[in-house]
Amino acid sequence: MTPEETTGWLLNTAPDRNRLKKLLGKDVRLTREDDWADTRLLLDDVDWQLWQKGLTLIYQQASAECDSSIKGKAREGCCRLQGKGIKGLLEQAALPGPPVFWWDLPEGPLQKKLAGVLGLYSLRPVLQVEQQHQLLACRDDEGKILLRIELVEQQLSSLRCEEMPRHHRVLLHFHPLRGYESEALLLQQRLLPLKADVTSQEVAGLPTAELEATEQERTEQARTEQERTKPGIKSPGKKSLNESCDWLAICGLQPANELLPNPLPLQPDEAAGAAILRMASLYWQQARRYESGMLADTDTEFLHQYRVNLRRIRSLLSLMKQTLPDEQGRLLRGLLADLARPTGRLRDLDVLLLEKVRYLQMLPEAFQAGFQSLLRSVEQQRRKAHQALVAHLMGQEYSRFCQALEAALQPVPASENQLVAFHEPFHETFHEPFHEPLQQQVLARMQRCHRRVLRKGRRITDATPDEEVHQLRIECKKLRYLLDFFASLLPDALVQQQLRSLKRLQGILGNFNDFAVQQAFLLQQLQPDAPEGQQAAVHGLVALLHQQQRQARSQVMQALSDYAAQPFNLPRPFNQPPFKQTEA
Amino acid sequence: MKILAVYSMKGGVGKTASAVNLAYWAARSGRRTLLIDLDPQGASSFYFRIKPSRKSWGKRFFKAYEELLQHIKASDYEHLDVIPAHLSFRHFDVLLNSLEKRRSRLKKILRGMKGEYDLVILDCPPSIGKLSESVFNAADRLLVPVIPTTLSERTFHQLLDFFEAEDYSRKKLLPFFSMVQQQKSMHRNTQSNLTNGKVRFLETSIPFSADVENMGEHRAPLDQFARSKPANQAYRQLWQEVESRL
Ligand SMILES: Nc1ncnc2c1ncn2[C@@H]1O[C@H](COP(=O)(O)OP(=O)(O)OP(=O)(O)O)[C@@H](O)[C@H]1O
Ligand SMILES: [Mg+2]
Repeated sequence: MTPEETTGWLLNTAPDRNRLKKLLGKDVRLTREDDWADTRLLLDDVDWQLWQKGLTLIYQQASAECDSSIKGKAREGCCRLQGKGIKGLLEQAALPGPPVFWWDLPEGPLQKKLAGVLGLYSLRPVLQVEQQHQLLACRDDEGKILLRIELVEQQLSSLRCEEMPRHHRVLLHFHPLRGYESEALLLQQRLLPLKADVTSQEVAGLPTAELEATEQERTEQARTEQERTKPGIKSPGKKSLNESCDWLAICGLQPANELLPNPLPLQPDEAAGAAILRMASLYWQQARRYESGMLADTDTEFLHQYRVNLRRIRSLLSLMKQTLPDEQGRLLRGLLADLARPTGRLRDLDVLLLEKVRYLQMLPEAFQAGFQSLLRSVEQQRRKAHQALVAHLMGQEYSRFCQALEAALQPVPASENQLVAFHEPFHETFHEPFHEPLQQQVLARMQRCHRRVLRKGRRITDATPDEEVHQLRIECKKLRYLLDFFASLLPDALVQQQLRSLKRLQGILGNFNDFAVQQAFLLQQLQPDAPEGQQAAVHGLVALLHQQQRQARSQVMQALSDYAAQPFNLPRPFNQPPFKQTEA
Repeated sequence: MKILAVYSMKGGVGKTASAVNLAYWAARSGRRTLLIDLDPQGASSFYFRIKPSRKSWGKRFFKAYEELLQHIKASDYEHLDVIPAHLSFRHFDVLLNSLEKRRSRLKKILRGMKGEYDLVILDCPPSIGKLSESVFNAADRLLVPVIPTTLSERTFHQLLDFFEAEDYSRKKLLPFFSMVQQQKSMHRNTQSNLTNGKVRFLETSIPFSADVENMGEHRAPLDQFARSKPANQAYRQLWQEVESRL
């Protein structure tokens, strides 16, 4: 039983022995069983993926003292995962330090679970809890322990901000013993005045039952007391809610505020232009969250997610192109391309290195040495590419881009012409679609996009040139983006069904494309004067990837007809625009 | 889950002292252990300061398993629970007797514990009459304390004969010497006599020791108050040997 699992109370202050003795009564002997200290870290990744899944991962730092189920088995470091979908907890002892990636853990259920949630993300300590424990035993007249109580003084500090303010609090945990449930309940009630949020009513109704009462009497008494004092008391043995939720709140950490709501909340009748700009700003704020991790090169996800968010903005703006004035759109797209360009090289190299294991598995033994030597040179190039990215992010040009982008994302005032006139440079003239209801535009756009997917799809046969398949892939991607961006304007069932059926089609088209890109990129890594071993390895890989690409190609037809068979019923648009000034 | 009974037809040979200390060491080794005090005198409950249960036992034996669960009490030691003695264990006999397939009944009831415990230790009273057959049936191993005297030797041979007559596997028997006083020549002789017999005695024997007698005063396993004493070490070693034979 770890302290996270037991029931606990928040106390106003740490009570001294005498106070405890007095509250417990003359028929209880209090003995001191143990004292110890420990330090725990709450771990999560930059996108709070564990928190999002209702999971908490706690690392208990190694301490020679911690060797029992009450103290936590942490002679060496120990990780515990608990929360939604996990019965009890998943534990991994004997760790040299807090794990950074899931693969830092030895194989086992905890590793497996984390792999599924974290992927390539790294973990970092979010907050630190230093605890001073005192274990006391309440004994009966014969010296038998009836209930163990544990006083915990906690110092909490967030590791996310520089100054690390400390938050102090005192908790009282109960460790009930099997077969002594009613005694535990009784003693808990006697200690009730210590509880921080106890009501005077609860204190007034303190129990009078004696430990020596017959078991039946006691159980009954305890039950009525429990009823009366609800919700002040929980029956012992029942797990309390995970304590670490409090930890976050105490340290002022609010994961929900750091993350984008999914789907983004949108109103059907809000002005389309302002909505698009607001969405773009939100994605841009998300992108900037990853800058520090890109600089520190913490893991490959920082750069990847940064690029994902830039791409989201770019796709949003080009999908809803007509909503914004041409000039504004052009300026934004240009800035986004400028921001994304310096990140491309590093990402490509990351992808190659992430595929390393798969490539090595694909290659026969004889080619491995050659490929390893290529990898070494790729790793070297990656270091250079990272340095270049750091220089870019730290440079003045980057901050100018950012400012320009943020300025260009400012929404324009509403329809009054005189205000529009002030708003240089985009609004010399009134741009009507900007003010049209969002849903109306989105639905029209989706309808067009879906028709295009079907039309292009119908034209594809097994003999169609690859280029046309790529075009189809891009159309699918657009539809997918529209579903993601505007899910809150669409019926849930439609979104779910479309995401499901698009997933398979996109998977095949995506593979088809990835295999092509990988072939090209591998060939590109090959210097003209590369040693023969490298040449052979790369050509071998390219041949294999080509085969896989053809295999994906052969599945396209079936996936297409499966997709086309799905219904696509968009809701009726909200077609009463709040204002319409001119008939264009 | 294994079931280990500490059994002897003779009284006062160290059954309870063994059951208490072995249960303690088993729990210390990480096994989730349940000690059942079958002796209405409640000696092992007494050593763990657990008051005999006042809850009445149900009359209906087919609910025996649920009944049993309700009587479990945690000891003060991690991984060690106890079912304290109960006066009505006297009637265990009668009850078991009245049931069909009484021989396998106890075994069935105890098997129900296998999710919760790795080891069940039965501290048997000296005369358990009909219950003894249920115990022989249920137990994977019978730990038999034998004081190295002629009388004890006879008692042990009676047990062997009974096992033979009733077709119980002799492999279940784990006899060991208890309350050994090496200075007594009779002890030495009996010890070697018995060791030559058909059943091998365990290597470890428990010396006669005032510390064991003092358990009654301390009301705790030896390790809690006589950690470095030979008797404590002997019990620890006995557990290791028993564990390897489970
Ligand atoms: N190794 C020993 N050295 C000295 N005294 C012992 C030893 N083992 C047991 N005793 C003492 O002998 C008495 C009987 O021991 P114990 O109760 O363990 O035997 P038992 O076989 O369980 O008896 P019963 O048949 O009455 O249940 C107790 O007073 C105990 O303290
Ligand atoms: Mg006894």
